Amino acid sequence: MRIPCPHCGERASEEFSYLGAADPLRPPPDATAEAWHAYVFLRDNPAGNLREFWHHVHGCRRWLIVTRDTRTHAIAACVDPRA
Amino acid sequence: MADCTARWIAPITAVSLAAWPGEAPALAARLRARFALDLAAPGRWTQADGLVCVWLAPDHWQIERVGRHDLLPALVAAAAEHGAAIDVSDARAVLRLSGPGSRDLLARLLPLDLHPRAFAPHHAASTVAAHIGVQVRQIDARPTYDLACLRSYAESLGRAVDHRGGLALGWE
Amino acid sequence: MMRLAAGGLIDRSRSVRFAFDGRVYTGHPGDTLASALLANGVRLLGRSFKYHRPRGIMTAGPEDPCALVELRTGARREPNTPATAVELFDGLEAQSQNRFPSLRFDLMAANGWLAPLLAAGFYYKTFMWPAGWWERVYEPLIRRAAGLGRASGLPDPDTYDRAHLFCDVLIIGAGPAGLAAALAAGRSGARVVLCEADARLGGRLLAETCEIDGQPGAAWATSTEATLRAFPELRVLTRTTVFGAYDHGTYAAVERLADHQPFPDAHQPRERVWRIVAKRTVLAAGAVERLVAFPGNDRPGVMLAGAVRCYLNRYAVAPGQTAVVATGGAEGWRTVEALAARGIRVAAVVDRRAEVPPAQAALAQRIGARLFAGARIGATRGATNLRTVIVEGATGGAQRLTADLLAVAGGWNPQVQLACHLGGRPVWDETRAAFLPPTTPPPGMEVAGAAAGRFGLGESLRDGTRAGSDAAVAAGFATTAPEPPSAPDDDTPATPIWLMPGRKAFVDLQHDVTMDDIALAHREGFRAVEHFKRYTTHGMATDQGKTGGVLGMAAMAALTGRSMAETGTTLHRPPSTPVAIGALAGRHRGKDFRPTRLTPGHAWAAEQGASFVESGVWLRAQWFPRAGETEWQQSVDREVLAVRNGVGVSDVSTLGKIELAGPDGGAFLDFLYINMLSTLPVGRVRYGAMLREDGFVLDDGTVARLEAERWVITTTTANAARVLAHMEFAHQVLRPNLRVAFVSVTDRWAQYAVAGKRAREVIQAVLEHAIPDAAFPAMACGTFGSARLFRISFSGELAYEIAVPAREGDALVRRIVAAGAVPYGLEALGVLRIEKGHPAGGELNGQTTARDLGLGRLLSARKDFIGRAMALRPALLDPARPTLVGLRPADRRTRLRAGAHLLPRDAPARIEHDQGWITSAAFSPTLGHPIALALLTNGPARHGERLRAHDPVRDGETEVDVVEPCFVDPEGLRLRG
Repeated sequence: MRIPCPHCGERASEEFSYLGAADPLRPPPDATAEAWHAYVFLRDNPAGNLREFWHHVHGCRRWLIVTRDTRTHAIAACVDPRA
Repeated sequence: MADCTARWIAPITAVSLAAWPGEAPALAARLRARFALDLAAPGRWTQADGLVCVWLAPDHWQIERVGRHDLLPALVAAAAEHGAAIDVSDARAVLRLSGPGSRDLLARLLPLDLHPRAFAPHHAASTVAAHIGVQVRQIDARPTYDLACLRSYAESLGRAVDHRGGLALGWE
Repeated sequence: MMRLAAGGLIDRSRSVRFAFDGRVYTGHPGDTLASALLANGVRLLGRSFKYHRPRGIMTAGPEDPCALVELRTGARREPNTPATAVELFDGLEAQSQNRFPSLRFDLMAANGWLAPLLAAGFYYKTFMWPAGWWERVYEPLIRRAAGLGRASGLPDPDTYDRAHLFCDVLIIGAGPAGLAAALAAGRSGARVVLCEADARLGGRLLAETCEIDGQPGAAWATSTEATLRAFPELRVLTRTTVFGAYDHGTYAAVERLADHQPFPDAHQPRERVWRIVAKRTVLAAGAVERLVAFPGNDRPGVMLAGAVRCYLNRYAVAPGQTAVVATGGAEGWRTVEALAARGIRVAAVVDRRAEVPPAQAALAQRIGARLFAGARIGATRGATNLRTVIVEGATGGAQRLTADLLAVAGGWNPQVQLACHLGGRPVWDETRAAFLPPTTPPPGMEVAGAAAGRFGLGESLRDGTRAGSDAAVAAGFATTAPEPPSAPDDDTPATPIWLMPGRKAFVDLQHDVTMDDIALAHREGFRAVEHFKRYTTHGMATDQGKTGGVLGMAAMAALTGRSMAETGTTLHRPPSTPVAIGALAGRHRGKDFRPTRLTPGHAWAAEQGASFVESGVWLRAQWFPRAGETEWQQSVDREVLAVRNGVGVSDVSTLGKIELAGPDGGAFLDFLYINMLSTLPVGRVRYGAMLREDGFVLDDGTVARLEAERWVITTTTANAARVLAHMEFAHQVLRPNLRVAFVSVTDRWAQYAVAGKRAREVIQAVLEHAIPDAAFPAMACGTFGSARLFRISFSGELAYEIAVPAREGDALVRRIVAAGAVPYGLEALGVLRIEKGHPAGGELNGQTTARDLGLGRLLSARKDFIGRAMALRPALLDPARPTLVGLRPADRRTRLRAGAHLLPRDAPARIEHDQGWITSAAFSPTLGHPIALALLTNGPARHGERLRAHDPVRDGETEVDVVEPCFVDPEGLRLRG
């Protein structure tokens, strides 16, 4: 796969490390156990677009959010969440 | 006659320089004022009188000079409230590859497009070569490239470069 | 001799000598091994996989299922090589395969009589009884009998290369469509790469007599090549097969640099795997001929009709002296013409069609060939060579014809594999009687020419021109399409798949699969295409069913009464042709399998004769043997005692070191670690542990505050990269507003631990600076010139860690040793920390919590930190969780081993009695007996108990006593020394 890093340009996937879904947000410290359990463990498994974290380890070392179609690997977007 | 020559460059004094969010312009002004050096744009490196600035990431650069120098205090002062400086001298080993065959030699190692239409002098990129994280910079149009890796990988990188796939490589 | 007097694209001025099965023959440059063997009248090449039937040469290309030989000898011996794809070179040696004692008299041909027992899937129904015979009888027999060629079993002496290539337009195949595409794309100035598997450009143009722009096809290919090579941004890669299509315009190809020579030149790689990234791709891979199914269609002398033309035209070889041509349509008549033009007698033409067009009937009459319309092949005869063809007419009679060549025309299969590698399925086209590329090929790829079902030459050239031009434009290079090269079009209908009834009608010649096997699969319920493929092994050999796969599908379609479109094909996956594993590995073999990291002190340690161990990618010294020491245990014991009784030095450069700077460093560290760090005074060090968000321990280390806004943290060697990534996520995603910058400085500093009661003296001597206890107490840190000093102790002794810039590391360790410190390695380091009960890899295994490791008191209640919420899950607070304890063997002698499980003394060894396991173990020379650390249910409450350590894999049983997890100096007096 080739990932279009917004800082470095399109790069081979071996420059990156994959984490998983980017949509779950870290709950506030006092949230319920269920909210924490969902954040840490529960994930959707869509046949279609998924927003996911990729780390450009051998590049700019930025954590990026890639929108990828899990069926075809077509990448619709790749953004830096901090930008 | 070698298609490509290879030479390790050392020692190199290097400082990692970061700007706080939104403070890059202020940091750039300080650097320009004190060193006449421009902060490099993404994917580029700049230099002024032997002092080099290479872009690593958003708001993150590396400032270098060949030889042993005391760069950190001046850069800490320059950064002041706009960012931070961390000494990383000696952390990298740098291999200079030069000659008409150097592009083909790097094509064996780097998953990057080094064709003149895509990569030219003053371009810089971080990538991975044979499982070793590297940074490549084009120095001139001969072409000459600098290939840097973490110091502990230097021997392995040398072996990777030496497996030249049929090119004539001369070590200096 | 079967070599024709004139013609061919071979160099008759030079001769090449080669050997097959020990006999020496001659050929010419430009020959393949197959064409040279045919020229010398050799038609028997091997014995088939299962039935050991004689096999010869069926086609003229790499898709040949029969002409498999062992090429070369010794370490370079390569089995299962199609002789049709081997470029002849002087000194070539080849052997036939799968026969004993010889090719002509193969004892295993007896398998032919056992055929009814050896039908498809027979091994699912046999070899089951008696069970004991499996290992002793069946398996050894099957291993001897199975397989085709033999691998050499020796290390591959050649080197292989890998390289990256980027382009705007990739053109796969240099036949008419590919060459036309290259002409169109090349002139636009785009970066074009043209890959051709053959040594020459031209594809089918080299095999046929045809004209393009008024020139013979082969000549047009040559002049086009000159034009192409003149484009500065166009790269021609010959002998290069593109074998895989991957995501986002990535392709893989293998270039055979030296296979046409006896062996590679010095420093020359044998093969090179290219990883090509293309903005646009034109797949012009052409089509290969289909087999025809009839009884005895595997006999040497049966050849595909287009291949016959190739041998006549390209290699100037007559594949036989008396030919019968069997054709399912107009296609075979082109071979009739070609044979006649070369003066080879055509005894008969067997045409499937009841009505043969008048022009073709007239041709048969003109050359004196008998014409059988509406007929089929009933059988072939001949022991190791075709002698007789039996034709069955429309009305039922059988005619015996004497012939040594049977050319069969069964139509063409477009080579669509690469267009399907991303999951698309080819589409059956009834008119063209072929599977065409999927409606959704890989993004950026277009298919042109015969690969797209455009079999006519003129059509192919126009298609290629358009595709090449469109690709260049799509890649951003404005251009107009040139006038396509002109050639006649071919309006004749495509030849449909031809299946004739009868026994021993093969559909897969490599795996000996017949039409009867397809019928068997149907009877037994394996009717879906993916099922009967695997049940019969049809299409699973090295040729991947290129010539016969579609025949099996057609047979199953007929049996199930479904259409070809409904039956479909199996999925195509890379590689589309066999690729040497060595080529995929490139230089990553042996020592270069992966990189190695060396510390700044490595050269010094090697000089001392240290024994090294791989610790992740690092090489670390395990121990430093001294003269007279014959066992590693002696060295390790000595080193441990040197630290406990004197002073030692160890290289700890591999541990991760991350430096942080900025006003919010303290707040960031508070978020990462379980304990408070923002309160750490300048000049002090604190131990800390980090959790994952699920509440388990990620890593532990030390945090040193060198200045108000400058910190250095350490990590374990194994987790250095993981911790850095974790911190970057925490900063960039979770706490982006914190003003802190951090980088890895692991390689920037050489770091050594100096430990033992004399450590202070050594440090003072090395730094040439007094370091009084009051000024530099335990857990202090500071800077001395270019060095950083930390008073931290992993061994429990009075200890310091001293860091200097990496280039000074070698000189520093020598000075430390000169000052009297004894070098100690990883093993001694391990013993020392186990004696003190410090957790390391065995305990920090990702499944333990802070409480499990006795660090519960560090968990701060005053702040949020990563993992805090999930660490409070009730199950993780259960005191019954295995927690850290120490163990001693009851007999003070028996060695304990990590991995042994802890059971009550009298309970049977079953999982329900399992109470924990040993995580780290060592012999303690300080105490004189083995010790261990373990995780034990309710551990802290059970000191004094006696348990059983159960290790069925190695030693068996040992009784152990549970003790506090700290065996030496539990009050910690030494490190304050």
